[in-house]
Amino acid sequence: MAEALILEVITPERRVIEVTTPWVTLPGIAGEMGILPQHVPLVTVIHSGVLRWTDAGQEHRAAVHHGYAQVSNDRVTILTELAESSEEIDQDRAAEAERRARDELRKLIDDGKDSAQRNDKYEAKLSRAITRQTIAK
Amino acid sequence: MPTLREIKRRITSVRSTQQITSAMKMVSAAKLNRAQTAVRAAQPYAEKLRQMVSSLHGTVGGEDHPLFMEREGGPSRVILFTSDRGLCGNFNNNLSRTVFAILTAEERLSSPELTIFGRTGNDFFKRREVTIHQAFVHLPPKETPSAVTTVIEEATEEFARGELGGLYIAFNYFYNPIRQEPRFQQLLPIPAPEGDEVVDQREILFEPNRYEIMDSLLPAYLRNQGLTAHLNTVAGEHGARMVSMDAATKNAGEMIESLTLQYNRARQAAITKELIEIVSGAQAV
Repeated sequence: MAEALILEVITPERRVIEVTTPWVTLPGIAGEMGILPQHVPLVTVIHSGVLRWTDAGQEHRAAVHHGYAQVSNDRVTILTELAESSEEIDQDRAAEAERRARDELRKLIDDGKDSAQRNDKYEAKLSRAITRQTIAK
Repeated sequence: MPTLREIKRRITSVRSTQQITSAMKMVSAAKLNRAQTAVRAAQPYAEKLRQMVSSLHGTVGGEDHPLFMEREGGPSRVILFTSDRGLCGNFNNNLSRTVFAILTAEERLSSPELTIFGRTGNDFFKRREVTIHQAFVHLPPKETPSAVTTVIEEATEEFARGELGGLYIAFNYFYNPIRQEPRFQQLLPIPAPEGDEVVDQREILFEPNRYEIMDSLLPAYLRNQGLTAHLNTVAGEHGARMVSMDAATKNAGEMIESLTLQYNRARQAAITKELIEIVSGAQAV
């Protein structure tokens, strides 16, 4: 019986992470989702959020921005367009990005130009910025 | 018999061509290196994405997604990936010919139309009786990926609306720097997984549900397939160019050798002739 999970995070450019860990939590669309060994096979969509796992007793965190996760045979595979570890994130830039995204959204709403499509773009930016700041703290 | 000076001039000209081809070879080698890294790095992502799609594409259970369904009628669109520049052997020609043969021979492609990336493919098909839907010629390298994405997204929407009968991509698959192979692949409707890839999806939990995942995953998969084809094309182009420039450099070397031989012979003949002239001149006195 396997007591560990293999976590791998893959982006179109590279394989970001490949580790063995006793547990993983994913930013699922309906909130955080914990995965333990012997989980049933699962395919899910993930949102911009924090991915957590432990390695040698140390908890690690990384930001993932929209993607898909698959769990099968104690292997958690995350496909995402973008994944960043806390060291890679510039908090000031993220704060600035958050402010800008909020401004844009407010402007769209004030101008009455808010459509689902345009909002999506800035909401995605906003959620990315928020995730980055959460990680960097 | 060419004169000494003519031969000398040819040697100089071949030598400067050789310098150019060998420089081009080195440039391609450097570009190939980068392109190859990109292809290799993109592989795990593409592979996993494909696996996820096959686990969604069930023969077992559940409703079907419009992108899986066969269509009657409607044109078939073929996206062709070629390079803008030539001087890379039969890299582009090979692929264009393969595609042309498929377009003209195969019955399952109803009224095919082409979307072409790259000048060489466009040059090939504009002289032939094939409908060209769109052609992207001399796009800046940085803009190509987003153009590919747009083309795929548009085709996906048209397919979903029932205006398109099928979507195919044709590109050179990059095995290694010296081996590329034309590939013709069906994107839409998304083909069913084969053999052992068929997964019993009753065992798989889909969160939030299978249908919603498909709505976002399938277009992402299609985009990724297009980008993969593009990366393969770029790497293949540089590989093919490196090989053909290497061959050209070698050929130039051989040519210089044989010209040098010819030059030396002509020189010797001239000397002999002069000697005879002197000797017979002396005898006459």
